[in-house]
Amino acid sequence: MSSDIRNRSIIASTSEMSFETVFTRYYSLVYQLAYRCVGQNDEAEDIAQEVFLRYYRVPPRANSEAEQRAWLCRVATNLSLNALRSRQRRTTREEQAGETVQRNASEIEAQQNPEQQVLADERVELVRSILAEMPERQQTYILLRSTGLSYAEIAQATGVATASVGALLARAEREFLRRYHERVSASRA
Amino acid sequence: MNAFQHQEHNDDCYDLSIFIARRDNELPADEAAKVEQHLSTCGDCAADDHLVTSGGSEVYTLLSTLDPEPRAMSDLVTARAKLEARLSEAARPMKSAAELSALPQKKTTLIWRQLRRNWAAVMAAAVLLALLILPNASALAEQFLSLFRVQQFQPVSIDPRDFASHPLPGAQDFGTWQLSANSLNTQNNLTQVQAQRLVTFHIVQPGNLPRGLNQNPAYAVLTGGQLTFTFSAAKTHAYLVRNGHGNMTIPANLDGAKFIVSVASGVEMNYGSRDKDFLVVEIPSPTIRAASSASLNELRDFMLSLPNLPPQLVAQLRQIDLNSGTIPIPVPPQLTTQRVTVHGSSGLLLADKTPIGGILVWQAHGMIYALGGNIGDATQLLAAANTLP
Repeated sequence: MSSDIRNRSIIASTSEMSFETVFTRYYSLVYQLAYRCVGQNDEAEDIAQEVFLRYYRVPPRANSEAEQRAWLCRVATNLSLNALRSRQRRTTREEQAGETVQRNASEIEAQQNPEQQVLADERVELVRSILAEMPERQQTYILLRSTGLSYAEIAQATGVATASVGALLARAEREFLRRYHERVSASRA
Repeated sequence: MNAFQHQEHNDDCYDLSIFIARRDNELPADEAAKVEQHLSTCGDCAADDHLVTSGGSEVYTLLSTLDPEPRAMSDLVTARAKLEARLSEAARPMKSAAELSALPQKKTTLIWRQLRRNWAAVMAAAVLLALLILPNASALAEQFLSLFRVQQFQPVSIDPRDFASHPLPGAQDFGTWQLSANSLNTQNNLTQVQAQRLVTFHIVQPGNLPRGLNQNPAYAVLTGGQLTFTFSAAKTHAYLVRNGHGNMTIPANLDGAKFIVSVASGVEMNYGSRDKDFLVVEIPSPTIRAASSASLNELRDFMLSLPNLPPQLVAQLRQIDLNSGTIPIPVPPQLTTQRVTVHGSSGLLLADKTPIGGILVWQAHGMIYALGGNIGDATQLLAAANTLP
């Protein structure tokens, strides 16, 4: 990385953290958040790259490291959910056109590995599809929480009052579990 | 009790959100102690607390199954190298005013260099920007065919940070563009005589230039043409759905509406020397015509109602008077703007805060003139402009 990037102060007035520091500290968090949404390594990396590209070009207004982290997570979530929606639309179009949907690596691997692996992969797909079907705000709340953001950071990232985060999380978690148990029951019936 | 909670069963019982906050260690210690005390005496709340804790545990355990394999992610060195490559790629010459406004860290000089090869496209983009965000124009709204001619410029403050998490939509999100054949082509390395033959106006040159510049400019002509924008309700709906606003109503008469931007051939004179850039651009004022059932005003109203537009930007745009032929010029924070008078006409001077240079643009007698460069002092632009015949 060039010295220009390494030495550049992101928010000189409020933080002495360099871009390099922010990148090193939060790249894996941003990648993980994106991966949880999209479930594909290449796509998650693209999203993580895009997040830091935006951070570099236009550093956010942030008075603390927590606010910077919240910004990173918010942008990662928005980009990931957009990517997920695009993929769902593509899949729907392909299915409507009667085309064969290309199986991804995990599906192929599942056919070659023991039954346990298949079940695990099926559960991952189930969890991801439930997440994708949930209202966007609710997806965002539980995704952000799942990456360890505090209520203040979630509030900062989503623009709601900190005092509301608990209630919003309660609703989102309840909705997630309701959908999950419905689908599990339906598959067993 | 704090703001998380509300009374439900009786004065002492707590809402589920309190139990969630407790579970997540988000309650102040004294509040947590009160809740703890209550749980020891209230079976209903204890059951709710257990539900929240076990439910949350299930949710986040399930979500953890979505985590990548430990070795799936590139190592940080590789990831940084990829980012570096993307940054290098992103440093290519810009192609639109929107891109121009999205790079706050660039010096004006760099912006000007990037403008050099794209000035006409930037001008067209600025006009198109005006097309998409035109202010209230009741007179034009009543007309089936509307005509807007660029006559003056209004700086509009923008802060690119407002667009970082919600980028401005592109025109391609709302319709399609069609460029007329053989238009917007650049012919470089012309003599003054050759350039004059290709344009319909008399080319004028500044009588006095800042020091250190080439006194014999290189001429380039950008041939004019027409850009037709056709609004698409389907594309717009798709954009709105993508952004969680699929229920927003799109005026029926906008679907298929055409808006035509006409740009005549213009000239660029490059006085740059080894260490300085200095350009003079002259181009007839572009026009925008609404060529179908929808007026510019209707398009403007719809575009300004789009979600996630910064309210301050919308407010500024609404204040611009269309009848005066004014188009907004996006001004990022690192630039200063100053209204100036050039030969009695109102102009706009955009300068780097350093200041290293800047851009001066004004309109007179149906022509748009622009001067710019890294000449060390933006005020020299005004001096040079005033020596244009």
